[in-house]
Amino acid sequence: MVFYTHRFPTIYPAAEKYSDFASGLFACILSRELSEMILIFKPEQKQSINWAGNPEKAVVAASDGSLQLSPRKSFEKWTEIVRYSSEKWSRAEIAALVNLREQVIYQINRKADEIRQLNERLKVAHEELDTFSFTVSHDLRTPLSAIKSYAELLLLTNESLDDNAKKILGRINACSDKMALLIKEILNYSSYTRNEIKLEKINMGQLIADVKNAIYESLQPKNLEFIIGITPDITGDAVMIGQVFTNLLGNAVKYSSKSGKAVVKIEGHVSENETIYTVTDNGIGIDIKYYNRVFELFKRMDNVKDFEGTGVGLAIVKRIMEKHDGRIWFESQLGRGTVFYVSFNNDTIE
Amino acid sequence: MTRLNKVDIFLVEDNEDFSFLIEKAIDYIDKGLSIKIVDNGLSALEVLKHFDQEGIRPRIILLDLNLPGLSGLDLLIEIKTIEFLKQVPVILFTTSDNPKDVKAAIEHGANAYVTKPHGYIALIDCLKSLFNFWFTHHTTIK
Repeated sequence: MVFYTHRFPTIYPAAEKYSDFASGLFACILSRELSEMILIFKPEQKQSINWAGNPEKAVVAASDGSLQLSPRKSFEKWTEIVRYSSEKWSRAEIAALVNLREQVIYQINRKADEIRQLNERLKVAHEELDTFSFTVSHDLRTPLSAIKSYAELLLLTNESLDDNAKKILGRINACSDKMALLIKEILNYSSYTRNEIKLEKINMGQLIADVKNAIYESLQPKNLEFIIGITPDITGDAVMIGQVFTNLLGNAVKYSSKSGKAVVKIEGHVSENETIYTVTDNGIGIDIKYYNRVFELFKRMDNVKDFEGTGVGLAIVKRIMEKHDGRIWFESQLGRGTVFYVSFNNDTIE
Repeated sequence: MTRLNKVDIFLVEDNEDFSFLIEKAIDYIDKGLSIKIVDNGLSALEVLKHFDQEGIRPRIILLDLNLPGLSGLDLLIEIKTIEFLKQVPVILFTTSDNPKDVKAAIEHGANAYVTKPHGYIALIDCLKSLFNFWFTHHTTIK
């Protein structure tokens, strides 16, 4: 636990180089698991020791092998310079250093406790958020569903309604559908926050082909050139990465749908450390002034009013990229088009 | 309690909106279908035991999951121990789509697990399909 010496270089010759300031050593262990220690050094103190005669010559071997004390020729003083040693560690110093070690350990444990408590509080907060999501899903959806049902019930069964009343009931119906969609999106977004990622090697050629098919089915784009370049494989959570490209390519197709001839292109580049995918479109573009707001939940830009959407897609993409320790950024020109970049680390590929 | 001689659908539902809408929907599907609604799990069990004595057997039982008194799941377990109701299909009809709830319900003998649809038109279609299946495939004794 505690080790000290006032002659460190003689025990550990490699330390001779540092003898000026490290001839004395006090060492104590803080944590064996983490290999953490406190080391305290003392400078060299060249000592002069006065002997009454040279002590190394006190005994001489005689020719027959027996040892003889050589008689002192005089009582003249013999002085030796002792190197590689420091002042000795006093009892008081050792006691103080042992005490210091205890203090340090105490403070470390206190900090560790604080972190543990903070961690517990974060866990509780996280669980509360989970509960909140469930409450949103259950408690908000139920009355919302009732509102829609009442509107439909009136429309279906009440023959005395005039056109204006029918129109208003239709609006109630449409608004409750919109709100139900938003609730679904919140739950969807929060599920990506909560779920652990399962890393695997992803066949990107297949994944992008699947995403393309799904987009053609749901958006039915007309006059679109959809170009798939090289598609290097990456490591990630297949479901989440599928969502990333569904959202990015879906946006590209959606926001270029009014561009006359729409061109959407996806391709990947492998560099030394990362694989970067780009999704390029010639759509309406994003005002760079709002660069950061693009990734915020429910934020939609002024120029997308004529396009359906909830403002959740890019927030989900950003969240998934953060979960993968990846990056996302874009370049855009209003009215000209947008390029989205997503980068994945290569070192996660086994 | 008004004297009933026939109950086609026995519904346990504590949400007034849902019970109102389900009643309307059933009426819309077929005016001849009779429905009994109870809004508490414990009272539902008592009513069913009373039906036993009266010889009234519902053709189908619809249970909400979150109920006061006795949860839909506990009520299901109780119903499945009543000999008189062995042949009656019991269907969980709830907003929860939690896989744990679905699993528990099926494990405890629910004949089906159906999530409540969004909207009245969807509700009518959902109930129609339920009745079409259970009233034709699952003949109950009068």
